[in-house]
Amino acid sequence: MSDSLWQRCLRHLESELNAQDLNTWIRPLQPVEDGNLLRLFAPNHFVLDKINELFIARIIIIIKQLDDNTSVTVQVGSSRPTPAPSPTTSNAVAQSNATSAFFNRENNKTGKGFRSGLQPSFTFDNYVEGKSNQLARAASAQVAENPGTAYNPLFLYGGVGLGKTHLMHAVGNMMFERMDNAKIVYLHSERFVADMVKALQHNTINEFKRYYRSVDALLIDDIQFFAKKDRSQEEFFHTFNSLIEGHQQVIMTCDRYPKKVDGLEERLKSRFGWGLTVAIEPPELETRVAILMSKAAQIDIDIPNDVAFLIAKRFQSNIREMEGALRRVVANSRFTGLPITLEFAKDALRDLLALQDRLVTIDNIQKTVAEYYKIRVADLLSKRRSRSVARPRQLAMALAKDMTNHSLPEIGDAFGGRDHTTVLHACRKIAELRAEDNVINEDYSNLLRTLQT
Amino acid sequence: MFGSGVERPGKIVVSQSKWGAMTKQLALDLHLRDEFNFNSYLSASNEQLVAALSTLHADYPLYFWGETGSGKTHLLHAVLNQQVSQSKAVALISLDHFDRPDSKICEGLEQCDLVCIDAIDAVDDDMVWQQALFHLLNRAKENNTYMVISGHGSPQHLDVFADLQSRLAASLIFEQNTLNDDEKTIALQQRSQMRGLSLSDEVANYLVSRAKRDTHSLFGLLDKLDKHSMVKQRGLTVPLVKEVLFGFA
Repeated sequence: MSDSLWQRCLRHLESELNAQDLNTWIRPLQPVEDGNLLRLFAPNHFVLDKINELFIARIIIIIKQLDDNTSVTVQVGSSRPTPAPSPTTSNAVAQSNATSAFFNRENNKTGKGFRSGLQPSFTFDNYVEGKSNQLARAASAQVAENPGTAYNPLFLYGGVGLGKTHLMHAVGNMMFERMDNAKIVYLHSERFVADMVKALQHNTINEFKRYYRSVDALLIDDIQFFAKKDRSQEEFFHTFNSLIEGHQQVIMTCDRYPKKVDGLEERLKSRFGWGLTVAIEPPELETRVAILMSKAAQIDIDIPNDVAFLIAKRFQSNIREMEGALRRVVANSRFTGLPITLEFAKDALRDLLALQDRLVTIDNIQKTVAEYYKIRVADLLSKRRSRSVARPRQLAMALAKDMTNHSLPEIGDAFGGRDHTTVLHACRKIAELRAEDNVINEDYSNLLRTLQT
Repeated sequence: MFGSGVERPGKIVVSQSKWGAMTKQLALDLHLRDEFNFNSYLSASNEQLVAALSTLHADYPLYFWGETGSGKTHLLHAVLNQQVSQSKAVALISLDHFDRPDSKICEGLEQCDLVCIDAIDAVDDDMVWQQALFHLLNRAKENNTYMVISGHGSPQHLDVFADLQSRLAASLIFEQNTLNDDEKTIALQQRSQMRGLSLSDEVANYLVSRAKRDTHSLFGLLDKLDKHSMVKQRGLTVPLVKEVLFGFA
């Protein structure tokens, strides 16, 4: 196949421009040859402006030299075809979210239902349930069975990589299968904001409103990114109200409890709590192992139990981290053709495990705990015994015992020369408090996770 | 008009010459960029990384990290060049570059077939960029766009907000090993050959055993030697190296 006009032009530019300009501005352009017109699509206005400012004159000259008849235009857009609308069959492939539901709405005017942005692979069947997420799962299943009436809105919150998005997609997919002509839209909050801004620019804000208010379920991910975006909050507020009044289902996820999101309007925070707000906690070891097994099964990989335990034990902070580790083990096995055994996995994960080992030190724990409680490390080491200092100190000691291999005398020593019985007392006290005081328990879990990442 | 620069392997040199007024020397240097491919990369200790880079997956990003001079730039250009040779639209954003673009550049970038992000750790104090990258990663995944990201440390060690960090942690992750001394000797000779210079084993060994040994410094030194030998009209010998290194033979 002979090189296209644009490729030949690129080669000229490659010999004239530095790599920085080439890779930042020129190579992202997508060409479409349309008779005597070469249309170049820039990914955004920022690139377009730069091309017009600095490069277009030269591009036109080169193209003219290569083919006198061809003229050049540059515009924002893409040559990649717009994905086809989802068929309504149950095994439908998710419609790409590259162009969002709203800007893709012509595709959805089939009179039938559609699902936009949903990943068909996220289902209840492959969602691993454990103590940490059973409430959230049960609530989600309720919503999927009785949309608009069970809990509306459903608000799922929890740390990163704990399965909020999976659950949300599972509800959407199940609704889609159970309801005739269901219109289900999933989108990330950033996309809602971007679409709204675009609709304002294109004078299509009324259609934007109508569109989002007409769906059977609106699933919005990572609502915390609405923070401080007043106009988007305003728009979402009205969309939200209209949906709730119409008994259309709203599901949201967030990285924290709604009241704790800074920069979110009070009226939104309170409305988010009208339905059911449910937390997803970090999964315990057994659940993590089961999740890994399920992830491996999804890519047709069989991993032995001890390997799953190794990964689940060593990568605790979130599920994505475990996925990364699993990916590396699988890649190494495919590359070498060797089976996945415990020794093989340890070797494959050497880079990642080594880092973790050297990470957790008593120093590090003291620094992290001090930062968390907004006190000084010196306070932790001091003789002061006020509650505001003593509790964090005990927590830090307990963490040091749980996370390092230091002996109790060594830990005592590192905390301003305290006796090992003091450390022992601290560990017992924290274990006791964690069982009866939720705040302490949450602090401990948060610190543990921070230290492990 | 704008200032045009040339990239020498390992560092960016901005020349003062204007477009259209290229010197012969610049044309020679520019040719070198084309040599950034997987074949010219000494991969003995990084075979799996190279294999992964040449068979990318759109489901998850590929993240690799290594210390300065481990050859991150080489590999990023190699993966870009490979995609360009297949008529793909690609972008490389170098975040530690003195001229880091505005984060608005990320909008719609998932329309490319491959997006490379170099030196992601450079935005650890820049929340706007971090958020832009987070959203770009999400859109790239939805849009089946390849993402390759490099940094100086593992995702677990990045000082970025949790959502971004966890997405990076879910990548296929590799540590890029630095070349050992033998490989550095070969790399120097290979690099010299690209410039039409002949570097004997003796001189190459001398360089690796006497000069600063990270590849950035070694390749930089090669630049100096190249110029010096041209000015002096002499071949690359140990005495010439001594002149450049210590100011006397």
